[in-house]
Amino acid sequence: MALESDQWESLAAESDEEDLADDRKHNQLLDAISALDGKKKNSLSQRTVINSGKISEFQFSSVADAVTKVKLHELVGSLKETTEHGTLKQQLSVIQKHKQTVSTPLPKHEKAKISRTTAYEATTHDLSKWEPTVKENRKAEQLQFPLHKQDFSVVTTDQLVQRFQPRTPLEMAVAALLHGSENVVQDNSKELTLAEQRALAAMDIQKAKERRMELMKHRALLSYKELKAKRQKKIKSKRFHRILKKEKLKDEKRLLETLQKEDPESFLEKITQWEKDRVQERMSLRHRGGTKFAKRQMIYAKFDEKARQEVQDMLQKSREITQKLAATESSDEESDSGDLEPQQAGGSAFVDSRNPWMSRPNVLIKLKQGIGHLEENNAENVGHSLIVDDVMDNKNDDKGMSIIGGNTSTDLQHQKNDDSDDDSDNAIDGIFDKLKESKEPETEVKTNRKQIRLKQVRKRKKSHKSDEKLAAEAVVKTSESGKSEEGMVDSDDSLCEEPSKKRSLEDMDALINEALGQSTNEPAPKKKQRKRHKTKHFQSGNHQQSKPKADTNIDPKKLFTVDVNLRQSSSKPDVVVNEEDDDQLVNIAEAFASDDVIEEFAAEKSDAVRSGQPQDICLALPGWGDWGGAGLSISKRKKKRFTIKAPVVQRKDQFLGHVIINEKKNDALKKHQVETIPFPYCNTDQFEKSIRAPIGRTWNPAGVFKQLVKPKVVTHLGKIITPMDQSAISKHETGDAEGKTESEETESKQSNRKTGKSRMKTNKKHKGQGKYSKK
Amino acid sequence: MEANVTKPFVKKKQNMKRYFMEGDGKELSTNKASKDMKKHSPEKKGSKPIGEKRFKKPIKMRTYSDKDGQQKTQQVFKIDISKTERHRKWQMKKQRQAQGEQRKLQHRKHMREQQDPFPGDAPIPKERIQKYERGEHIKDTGTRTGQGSRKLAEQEKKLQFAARQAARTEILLHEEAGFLEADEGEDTTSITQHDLAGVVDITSAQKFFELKLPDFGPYSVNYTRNGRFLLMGGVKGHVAAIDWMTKKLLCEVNVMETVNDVKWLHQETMFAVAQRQWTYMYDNQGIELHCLKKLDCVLRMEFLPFHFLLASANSKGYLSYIDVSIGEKVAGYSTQMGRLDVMCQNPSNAIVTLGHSGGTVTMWCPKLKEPVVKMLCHQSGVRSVAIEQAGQYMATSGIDRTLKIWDLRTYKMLHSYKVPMGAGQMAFSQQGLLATGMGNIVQVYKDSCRQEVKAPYLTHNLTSSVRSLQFCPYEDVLGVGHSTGFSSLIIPGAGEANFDALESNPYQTKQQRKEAEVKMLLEKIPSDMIHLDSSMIVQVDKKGLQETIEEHNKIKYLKPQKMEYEPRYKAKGKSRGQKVVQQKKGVIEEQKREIIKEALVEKQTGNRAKEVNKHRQGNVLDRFKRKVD
Repeated sequence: MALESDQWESLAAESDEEDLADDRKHNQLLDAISALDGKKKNSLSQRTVINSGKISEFQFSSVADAVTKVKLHELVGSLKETTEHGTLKQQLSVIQKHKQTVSTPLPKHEKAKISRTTAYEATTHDLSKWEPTVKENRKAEQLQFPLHKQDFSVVTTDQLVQRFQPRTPLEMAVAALLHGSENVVQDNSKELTLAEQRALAAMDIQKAKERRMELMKHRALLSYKELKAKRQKKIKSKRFHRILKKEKLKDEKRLLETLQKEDPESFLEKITQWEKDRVQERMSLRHRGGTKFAKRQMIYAKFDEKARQEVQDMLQKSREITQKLAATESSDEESDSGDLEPQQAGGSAFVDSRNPWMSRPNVLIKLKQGIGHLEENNAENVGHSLIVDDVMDNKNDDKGMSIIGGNTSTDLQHQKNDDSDDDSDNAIDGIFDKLKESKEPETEVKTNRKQIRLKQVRKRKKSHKSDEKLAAEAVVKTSESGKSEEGMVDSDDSLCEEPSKKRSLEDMDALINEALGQSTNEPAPKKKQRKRHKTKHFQSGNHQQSKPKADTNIDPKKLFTVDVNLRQSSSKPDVVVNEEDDDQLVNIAEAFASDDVIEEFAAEKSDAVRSGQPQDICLALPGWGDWGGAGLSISKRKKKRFTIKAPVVQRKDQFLGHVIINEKKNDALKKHQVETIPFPYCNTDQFEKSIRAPIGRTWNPAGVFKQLVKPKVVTHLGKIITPMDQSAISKHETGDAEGKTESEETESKQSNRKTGKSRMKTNKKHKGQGKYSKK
Repeated sequence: MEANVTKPFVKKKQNMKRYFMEGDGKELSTNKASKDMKKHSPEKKGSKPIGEKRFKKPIKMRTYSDKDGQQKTQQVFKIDISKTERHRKWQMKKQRQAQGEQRKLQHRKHMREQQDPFPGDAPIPKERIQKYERGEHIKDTGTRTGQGSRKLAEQEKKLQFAARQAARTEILLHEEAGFLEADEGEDTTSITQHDLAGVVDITSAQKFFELKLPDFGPYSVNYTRNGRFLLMGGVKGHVAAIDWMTKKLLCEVNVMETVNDVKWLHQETMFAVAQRQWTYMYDNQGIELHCLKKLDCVLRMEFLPFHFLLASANSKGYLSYIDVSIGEKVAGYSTQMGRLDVMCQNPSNAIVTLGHSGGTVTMWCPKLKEPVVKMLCHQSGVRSVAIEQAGQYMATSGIDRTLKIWDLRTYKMLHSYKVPMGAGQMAFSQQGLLATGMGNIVQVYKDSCRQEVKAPYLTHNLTSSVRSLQFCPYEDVLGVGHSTGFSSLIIPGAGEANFDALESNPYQTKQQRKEAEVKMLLEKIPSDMIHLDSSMIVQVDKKGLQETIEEHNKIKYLKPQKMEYEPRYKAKGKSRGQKVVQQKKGVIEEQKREIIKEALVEKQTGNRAKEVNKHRQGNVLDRFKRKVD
């Protein structure tokens, strides 16, 4: 089939060719005739169609086909042979040289994509202009619409003058006269004209040079110094700095010596200066040994007996301060000593007791509880015997007993204080000893210290153990020998230590260490103190162990032990007839009172606790290896193995025997509470604090209330709020521009100051302007 | 005020004419020539004419025509003004004026340039600011967005500003509470009311008075919140309301029944009286407004003004709350503690506190069935309870003749006192004074909470035993109701010295009262919000996993029964698949709805029926039985 068609086609093509040839010839003839009268050839008629057999409307060759591709040289190859068409040839050669194929046009969707991106960029750019305005509006505390306000400010003459620019020729001429010359004072702030200034500057070159040299030298020196200081500052070696410090101290010492001999006046001055420092030191209430003043004073002590005394005084002062703290603590412990009680109850902790809004209940309660625990503990230790005694005979006996108890404890404390006093005295002595033999090598000191520390740690451990034992004994047997009492007090002491005091003691210790360094010649008293000190550390470390012991439940019975008799005025109620009847009345009260009350309450409480506490779940079942049948119990081991222990719930009234606090949540209140933190807040604390203060009129002054409820947006009745237009941006931009110009101006001023050259330049500018204005 | 009126300066005419004088001593030609001018004429001055000295020679002669047409001449002298005395004076004056002006200008300039020696706002002591600060500051203002952080920081600043301003406005509280101070060797206890009344000013002295009402038995008393009005209720039925300052009687009725307690409601327009059987409400004219049968056999009442709740405790151990603004019972619980005749409220958090015979004190809030706190305070029965204004301290007294002070923040006992007789009544004043009524004497203790007191601050002997006590707000007055009447005692330093007129105003007008009522209603706190820890409301309700699961499980679903329905086959294309499904769905849905509705109706009616029938337990004829009290 294919063959046949081919043949048919070729035949048809032949016949066509013949027809075309005839036509061409006919056309050529017509052309020739028309060319006879010199007219332009008809180019159309000249056109030839290359009619190779291959090209047909059915067989379009693909562009990619290398063979069928039309090439330029094939088309214009005949040009080489002709001498005509010079310009065309040239053009072609140029084209061939810079041959660049035009890239294929992108597909439609790509084009659209690109146009979209460009459009997006353009619009974002356009919109970004609005950003600062929008931001500012968002930032604004309050927006008053309409935003654009008319400017009613009056222009002052000064402003007008500044804005004025000469325009008319006359104005220009006047301006040139006024500002053109250098001999006219331009800037009112300066006294001299530019010309005068220049003249002055040029007056003495020699001097200027000298001055410049000096300045350069000074600057160089400064920079050297700076570099050195920087380098030294970067050195991290502690040893280096220590040495540096010591050197400084030494220098000062030497200076003092020399001053004393040579310049007593300045020596005195120095002393007064130091005294002043000391006053400041005392004002700051530090009073420790490691301060600059103390160190200096140590040096100075060589010359003055007084200085030595002063150091001692200072240490004494510091001790006093710390001691006082201890005293108040002890008063807290002793609930019996009523004089000090109010301080604790109504002291600084209560900011304003009258206003419940202002109080911070959570913190306070915690604090109070803490104190309470200590109190209870102490009371238990001291007054166990009191409970054993007859309860109703508590008028004087109890008081006496308690007072005695209090006294003993305070006495012991005094002893302790005395001890510490001795210690510190020794320490001071040590300081001065050390000064005398301060030439000892450093490394030795270090090793010595290490050894001491190791020893101390061991001792502490031992002492703690013994203390614990003693404390346990004390709890069991209340009235015992002095030894056990001491132990008891020790343990108490450790319990009621507060961090502040601890720190102070540590500081003391550090001071002593620092001062004495390696001096181990008098270790006895120090060790004693250390021991006490150490137990504290240890106990704080094993807080959880010691806690349950301290936090025993209060016996509600204890509530009814301590009573204070109120002094009565002469007036007595009619019902109470005589003093003698008092006992009888007591008896009646006793008759009414019953221990049942307490027991009932205790039972109720335990019930409440039990009901609140989740129960253990026993999942044990009889199975393999167990006997079956009724009346048989599962083995203990199995029970133990298969019980899921319920978590222990901490109750609020855990340590309050006489109180039952309902642990059930108030569902009604829950409705009004916030469940989740609202959006921008990060944590609950932040949110809770943000709503901590009421904003109502009742709780705030009028002005504050207005501020607090200030609306974000204010609109005025009847005023049209137009949408923001370009002016808002331009306003913003101008603001920016002004800012920029200002900064530029300042910059230029600075540069003017820096070099003379730039000044010259600016002058030229001035000149130029002047000239220009003249024109 | 005296007005400094200065006379307007009048220039005399004669001065204006001095340039022209008659040389020949004749009259001036002008018609207006006054008689004054004549005085100046040289003739009358005698031999020495004025012009003679100064005017050496006439400069020129002036001719003019008279009104009659006659020609006349006049000599005209030129005067050298600068040499005249008058001119000199004038010049001096000018000079002085100029100097004054300059000085003034200088002064102004000086004022402008002068620096304020105390620039900025006056400093406020830190402690005072701290007093008004509510909790700690927000330290970390960083939130999830920049905008949020900025806002938070701004808000924080505002709050701090508020604290500062509040501290600053303290300057306006110029009144101070005073106290009695005894000389050395003396004691305030020995000072009697008569001594005091003799010393103080007349208006204060008038506050010490006694109403002798021996007929209607022991009186219970109550002051309004602003301290202006007094309500008294005698046990034998006498109820009287008076403006005690002016001693004007508002109303006086006899309710012809035992009166257990009386209480003002939110304002002086209404009060509640707990009578033998029910509780009644009266207005200030003594007209009965309501009979609250919900409150029977009430012994004690407390009104919670911010919640509009009337809490009452009855003899059967039932505690109930009634919202007086809507007249509904909010809550009622049987305490199971027997007769409740000891009651007080915690003014700081509206917790109602009851004292019981077992020596316990319980605290209640309306939304919990059980007491929020139960404390064992005494070994025997509790006779009275009182809580201080700030809600930090509680005083209890028992039959065992002890008086105890408790710290309500830690629930620990602070002090315990032996008193000669159990204090039957106690009350705290606004400044924290504690008044106790023991038998027929009233003792007042000062600062008894913070420190241990050795002796009472003031005492007063009455003719009969005390029935009730209350300090009058914003006054140094203690009102005591007793068997033979009422006595008002002066207790220096008892009341708050500065009152906030927007909060409670003793000098309220009628209009203000009306407005205040509306305001109070608007600011009414729902009873749900009463809780032991009043700061709970601003805390986020943090829930654990367990709790959320429990809450989820609490929600009950009504699971409808499953339905089976197959629509009948219908011809004529009505049984196409879609149609069938639709029909099926619709029928099932409808059925479901009906079932649910039925269930709900049943539930409601069932409940109601139960409720209705609750009263009808027992025999039908029981209703005709005689009721036993």
